[in-house]
Amino acid sequence: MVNQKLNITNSDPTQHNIHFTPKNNDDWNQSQPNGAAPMTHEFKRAEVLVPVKCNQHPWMKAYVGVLKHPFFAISKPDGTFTISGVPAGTYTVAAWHEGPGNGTEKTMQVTVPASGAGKADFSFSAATAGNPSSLEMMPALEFPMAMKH
Amino acid sequence: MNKGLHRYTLLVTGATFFLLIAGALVTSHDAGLATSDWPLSNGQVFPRMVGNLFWEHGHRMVATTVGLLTIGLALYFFKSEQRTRVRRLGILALAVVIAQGLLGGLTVKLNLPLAVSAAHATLAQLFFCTVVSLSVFTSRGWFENRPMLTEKGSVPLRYLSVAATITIFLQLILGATLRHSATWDHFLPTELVLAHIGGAVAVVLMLGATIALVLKRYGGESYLTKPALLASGLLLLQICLGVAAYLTRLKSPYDPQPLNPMVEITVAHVACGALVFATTIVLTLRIFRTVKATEAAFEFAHV
Repeated sequence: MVNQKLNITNSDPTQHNIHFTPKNNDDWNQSQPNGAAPMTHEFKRAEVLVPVKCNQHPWMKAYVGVLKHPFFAISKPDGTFTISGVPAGTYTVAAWHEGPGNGTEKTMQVTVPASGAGKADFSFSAATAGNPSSLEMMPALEFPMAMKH
Repeated sequence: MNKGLHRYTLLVTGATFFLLIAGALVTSHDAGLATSDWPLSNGQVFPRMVGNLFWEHGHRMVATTVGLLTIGLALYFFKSEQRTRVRRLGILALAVVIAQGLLGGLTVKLNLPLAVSAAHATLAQLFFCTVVSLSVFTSRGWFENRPMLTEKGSVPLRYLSVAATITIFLQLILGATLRHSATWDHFLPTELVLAHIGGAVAVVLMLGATIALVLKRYGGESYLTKPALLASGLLLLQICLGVAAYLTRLKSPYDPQPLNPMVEITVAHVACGALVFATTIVLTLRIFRTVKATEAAFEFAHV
């Protein structure tokens, strides 16, 4: 959540650095040696997914979702997702898929009726995910979906 | 001629070239922010060289060595060099290397903003240019008595060579901006790629014309033809490396980390660019040393 304190702990037997490279928030980079005390960081503005990398180990990458509300979901292996408890209204749903650069984000207008559910179908091409032969070296990937107003 | 001064200057020039390669390796490995500290790394003078910290801290160690060598260079020139302008250039080298070190620190403290990173890469080339010039000014060839040659043709070679040097320098700035505009996991901005390709065409035209005129007008003067031929070979190699660097860089955003051959080829492209620049500076200085300014060129100089 926006302005929520994010705890960052290094439990590895080696040092890392935590480098957020957001679009809407401030760039932040801090070294964290092994055994160092946990650090905290806050994001002041919403951003579907903020990339995080370790410049010491460039294969290490993560994403932090920063929203103003609790409505988000991570898709299942079959690609479906459900966001529960959304009040009736019209929303912009943002879906994000990891890939080259900061990944690919798509948005869609969805109306949630007073009773029943709205539906949002997104499709991402194989090119979005990048070259499979290169990504075979990566561990299993999760493709989180997130929703924003 | 002071042999000791020349040899020491060559040592600093070689160390600076090695430093350029070390810096290029930092950029290609995306290691510039491997530590958020500066000038220490993780609060230590000699940290464990884990992962990319090897490249970043290694670069700092090489830079420190070059900085110390440059202090020695400035003192050496201050004490031994009789020519006022050359002595001042030797002292200026120290000012440039200090500014370069501070810019390097700024890149870390400000998290690699494009303008500061590109300025750091550009100033590195300017420092290299300075020590290369000092190497020329202290060389035996510079002191030898040689007959002054006259300009043979309507295009003054002096100004053509200066134009080629400036074109290469502008191309180096474009290259530095392109390299620092996107890390390995992002695609390069198309407009900057196109500008860099345009710059390459301009360099080929300007440097190619300079080399062609040197070979045509002064084919028997090895003092001029040697750097001209070397520059032509390096230019050809640089174009091949540029194409290869672009092709490997197109694929790198799909990779899980900076991989070879992208890293090696882009670093080779940076290093070869510096060598093209250095060779053109040597050629230009030698042209100014041996080719008399024409009246037209003199007038042009005072426009």
